Amino acid sequence: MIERLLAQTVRLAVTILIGVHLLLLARVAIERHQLSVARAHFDTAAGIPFQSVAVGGGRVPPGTSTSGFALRFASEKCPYSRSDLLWKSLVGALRARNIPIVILLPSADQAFAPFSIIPVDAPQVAFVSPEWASRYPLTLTPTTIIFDSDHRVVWHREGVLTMSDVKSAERVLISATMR
Amino acid sequence: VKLDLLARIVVIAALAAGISPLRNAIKRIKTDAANERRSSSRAVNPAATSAMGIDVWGRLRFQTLPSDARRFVLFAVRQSSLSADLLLWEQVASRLPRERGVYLVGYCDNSACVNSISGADHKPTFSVLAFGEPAALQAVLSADGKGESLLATGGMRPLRRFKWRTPEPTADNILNEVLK
Repeated sequence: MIERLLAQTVRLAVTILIGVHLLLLARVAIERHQLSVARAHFDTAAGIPFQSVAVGGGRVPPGTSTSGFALRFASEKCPYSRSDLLWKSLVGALRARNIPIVILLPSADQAFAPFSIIPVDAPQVAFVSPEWASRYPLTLTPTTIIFDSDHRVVWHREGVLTMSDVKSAERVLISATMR
Repeated sequence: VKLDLLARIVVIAALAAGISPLRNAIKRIKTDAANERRSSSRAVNPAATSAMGIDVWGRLRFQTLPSDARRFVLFAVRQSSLSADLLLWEQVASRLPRERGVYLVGYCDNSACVNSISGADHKPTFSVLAFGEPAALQAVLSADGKGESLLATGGMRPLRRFKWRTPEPTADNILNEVLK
């Protein structure tokens, strides 16, 4: 009698837990859809190579056309760009994977002074092609975008980074095709 | 029976342990979506405060503003209507009195446009940029989406936009707007 009651209880618990799991999985799918809708203003389809010219007119070193890279849209004149402490953490994660980093300026007169830029050896780009610019609504500084080797946006954040942003970027870097 | 019961209890434990990661995943995705919505709602309309860029021949243009500049007109040149766009703005350029200090600056909308212009025998008499500053590009492209161009002072202070991509655009209409 007790054994039968126990068996019935266990069966009921299994059924309930499976139901809860199904509901949670459905919720994950719905939330993911909501997230993709929220991110729809950024074009995540395979894109075009990043064609750019550095401040002063020189060409940007190759690397961004053949592999994935991180783009930091930031300005020396923007206090949020300067005070974004967690950018340094993300730079560390990018550097650990040899992912090139490019600083894109809203305009040439907003370039960072030498040694105030993070990382110090990142090229500062001031000019991009309209074709490329039309795909990405870069209006806020700082904005951070990670492109994979197909020039597809695999991660992006507008505004100052949080610790959860850095962690989510690191998760993406593990799964994305960067080379 | 006992073995079966034990197996079921193991399944219950595994299922129960799986609930927390799923709930965390939902929480994380919801936070990401909320951040995303907050970011996009803060997006601002960019303004073109500089006409600096690299022209279709690879030259850096407008690094310093010309001393005689009184007006800048920034507009997109579309590959899909390249001949008509160039012809129209050439007409505008040819009719602009030099002493008015008006500088016309076109932005090629893609690399095909750049190649067409740089490879053509006839060079436009106004500047056509292949690369521009992101802020200015966003402003020009946003205006062009509505068929408009941007008008700025000689010091690149934004003045206003005006519509030029009309069903039958004329150089006279553009001149009126520019010299207004």
